[in-house]
Parts: sequence; C-alpha cells; structure tokens
Amino acid sequence: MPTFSDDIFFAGIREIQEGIKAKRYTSVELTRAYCDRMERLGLRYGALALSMREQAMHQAHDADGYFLRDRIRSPLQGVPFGVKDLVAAAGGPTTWGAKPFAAQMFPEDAAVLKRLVKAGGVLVAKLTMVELAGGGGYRFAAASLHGPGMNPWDRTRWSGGSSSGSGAAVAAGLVPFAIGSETSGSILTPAAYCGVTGLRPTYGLVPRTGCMALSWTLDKIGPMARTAEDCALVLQAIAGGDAEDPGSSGKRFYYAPQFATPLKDLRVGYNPADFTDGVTEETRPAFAQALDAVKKLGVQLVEMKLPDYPYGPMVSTIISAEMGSIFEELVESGKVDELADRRQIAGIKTSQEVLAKDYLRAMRLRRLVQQDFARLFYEQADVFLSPSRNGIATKLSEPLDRPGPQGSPIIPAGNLAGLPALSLPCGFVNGMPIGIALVGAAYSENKLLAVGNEFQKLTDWHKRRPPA
Amino acid sequence: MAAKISRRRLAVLSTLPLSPAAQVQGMQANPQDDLAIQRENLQRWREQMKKAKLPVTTEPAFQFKA
Repeated sequence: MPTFSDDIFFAGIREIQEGIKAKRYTSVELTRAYCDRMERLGLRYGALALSMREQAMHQAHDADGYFLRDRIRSPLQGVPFGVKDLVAAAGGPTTWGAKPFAAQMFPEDAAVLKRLVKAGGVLVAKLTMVELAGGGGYRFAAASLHGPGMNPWDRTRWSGGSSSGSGAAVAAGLVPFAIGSETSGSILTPAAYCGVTGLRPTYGLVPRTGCMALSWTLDKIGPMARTAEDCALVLQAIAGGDAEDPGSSGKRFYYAPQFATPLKDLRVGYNPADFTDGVTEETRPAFAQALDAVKKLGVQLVEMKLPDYPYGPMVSTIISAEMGSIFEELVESGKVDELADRRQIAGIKTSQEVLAKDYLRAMRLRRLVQQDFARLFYEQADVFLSPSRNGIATKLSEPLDRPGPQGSPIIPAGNLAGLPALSLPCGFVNGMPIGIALVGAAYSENKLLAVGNEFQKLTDWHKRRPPA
Repeated sequence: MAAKISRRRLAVLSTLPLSPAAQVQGMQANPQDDLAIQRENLQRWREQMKKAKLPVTTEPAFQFKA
C-alpha cells in the first residue's frame, strides 16, 4: 500500500492518472485514500453530504481492470470526484440539501453522472449544497440540511453557494474535481470564494436529466476543479446531446487548445469601474494586480460597458416564476416550512404569487439581452472580463444581504443570455481567495479555457493550498 | 442516567456545524416580516423591469437556446 503525501490530493487530473499508468498506485488505493480523507475532513468543512465509499471501490476496481488491459477510456479514468447533492445517484439519498427531501431516492444515476462513470471516473461523495439551490433567496449561509458550507481558507467564512460542498471539497483537496450547478452564480461564487477554477457551460451543453430543476431556462451543470484544463477535461466527458433534456442543444464539446485563437488577436473587454467602484475597498489592489496579469498575456484589452438592463430583477423574476411551479406541491403540502432559512421559505411561498405578465416581461427583455450580447461578442470583444464576486467570502455569522458595492452584473447577465463563464483564482486578500470571471459567446468554452490556461501558466494562485 | 460521551466523540462533535435550525433561530426576524420583504422584492423587480425599454414586437425567449 503506497503512502500518499498531500501533493497527490492537490494534483491535477492528468498527473493523478499518470501515477496510475506508471503503477505508482492503483485506482483502488487512490480511491481508498480519497475516501479516508473525505470522511475525515468532509464534515469539518460542511462539505460531505454522503460518502459513496462502497460504490467507489467497485468503480475503482473496474478502472484498474481497464488499466491492466491498457485500455484508457478518458483522462478521468481511475480519478475520484464528487457531485453536488442535486445530482441523482442510485444507491443513496439525493437530498437537494433540503430537509423535506432528506430521504429522497432515485432509481438511476443522473445523465451527467452516468457519463462520468462511463469515462472511468470514481464517485467518492455527494457534496453539500444550499437547500433547493437557494432559489427562494436565503439570508444565511446555514440555509442547508447539512449546515453552512465552511471555507477551507477560514472556517469562520462561507464557502459560497449554492454549490458550497463542491467548492470547499476541491479547495481542501478532498476531490480533484466536483460537479456543481449554476442557475445564477452557484458555480462562480463558490469557485471565487474557495480559490478554485469553475466553469459554467453554455446553456444546453450539459444534460440536466436526473438533476434537481430550479429554473428550466437557466439551470446549467458544470465542473469545478483545480485548473482550467481540468475543467476542460471534465466538460469533454459530460457535454453532449440528451434526448431527455428538453433544454439540450445537442452539441458536443471537444477540448482543442491547439486550435485556440492566438492571445495577441484576442479582444478582452472589461469595464474599469468593475475593478474599482464595483469591488470592496480591501480587494481593489488585488483586483488591479489581476488585471495587470491579464494584460501581461498580450491580449488586446478593450474598455467597454455591458448593455444596460435590470439583470438582477429579470433573473430573480424568472427563477421565482419557474421555481414557483416546480415547488408548488412543496408549498401546498406545508413541507416548505421544514426548510432551514426563513427568508428562503418566504421566497418560495411568494413565488406562488408571481404574475404571468411579470414573467413574460422578464422573458421578453431576456430576448433583447441575448441579441445585445450576441452583437457585443461579434463587434466589440471576444471575451468579457470582470471580478467573479465583489469581495471575499462572507463571515458565517453575517447575513448575506448586507449592502456592498454594486458589483459587475456579469453573473445575472451571463446567465440570462445562457453564456459560458470561467472563474479563475486571481489573488488573496487577508488570506482569502478572490476570482476573476471570463464570459464569452455561446459555445466559446475553448476560447475561455485558452485564456484561463495561459493565465494559470503565468500565475500560481490556483496552486496555493489552504491551511492544513 | 446521562449517556457518557467520549473525548473523541466530543472532539468530532465540536467540529460539526450547529444544526441549521439552531443557527438560524434568533438571527432572523418574524416570518411575517420575511414574507413582507419577499413581496416587496416582487414589487421592486416589477417596477425596475418596467423602466426598461421593451419594443411591443419583442417575443419572449421561450424554447430558450443560447
């Protein structure tokens, strides 16, 4: 039995698989080590919803069989991972982070999980999340069946939401990568707060079959990992058409860094105000340094402003209306009162009162947003850059609705337009990570990942490890 | 007779988060206030969306595709 140093728990996907290929360890040995670590530290960060040790050992054993026969199905073969607890996994409860669904079981795995297992990945844990992905508008980080997600960089701070456990688990080296979901900010926020790389794919690129629905027209499933390249490897395995997901675009994703646009030809748009007035005062020097690092890549930086729309109210109205229909039975049964956060309970109850005309207005405005962003990414820039969040992770004891700087609207805007985004660790403030986000045209993931790869070659923020 | 708790068990428990209910109690106001706040939000969103220009011919983004 090999002994595993901490280095392996913070290694990238390719490096981990290289170790198996070189016979330094088997997938079974690696998986056992990851399960031990997850079970030992997962609760410490409020990240572990359910250990999948038994199934994981079987999957790892299968993976080792493929390695023995020199058959490599994908770069993920033999590599452990975790999924947010809204991804159905047969053989255990899928709680959606919410008490009313604590005993919920599904007979089969979600499409995204089937694809990862088919690619040879090894599911070691279900990871915690904000209850019902926070659609009701929660006020405290503790809005979860599993308690608050604690940030590995400082356990008195939040790991972000709603993919709280996915962010914390990757940051703490409990899994090399995890699956999260985003309706409006649920991948980018924990990625930025925990100092990991998060990729929100274009709407429709990754199937949502078997995953909890919060908003049919906004929900996306995506990877959180250590590097942009690792996100690309995971996306390649999970993207592709699915007849059972009405939102599926039927498109696939092939990671092709060799065909990336040369950075000198790439126009990166940004609004300077997003990096000054749009962020907390303490983070401004760090964001300025991050912007300098992007300049050093040799890209063409273009100052610009996003089209002016009420993005926040639009996305909130759409989530509220669609969630109101999805959780109607939860409200009528009275079980909604079992949720942990009162503001969230109230938000789900009042979602029953959204007027059809308001939903339609939001969806009509959304059409204009889509058209404007398509034009923007054709005429003005190839990608748009902004801070992922306007500051460092919130203290667990503080409410999440504290007033702060009016940050960039890129999270609601990008989600409304269904565009891909990549959050990259870009510095530290008072020992806490911050992140920048790149957003591009629909299906421009390869472009975002190319910039992300180069940025991570130039910087080492993604390599830092939280205190033991 | 009270059940004994070992030091090891106590050490594990001390790292666990308080139950959500325990954390939330006392930090939040009356549930009626929360309902009122959420209703105000719906109203505020409506008013802010009404300020945006919307040509009469614009169709909703149904059958949404990016």
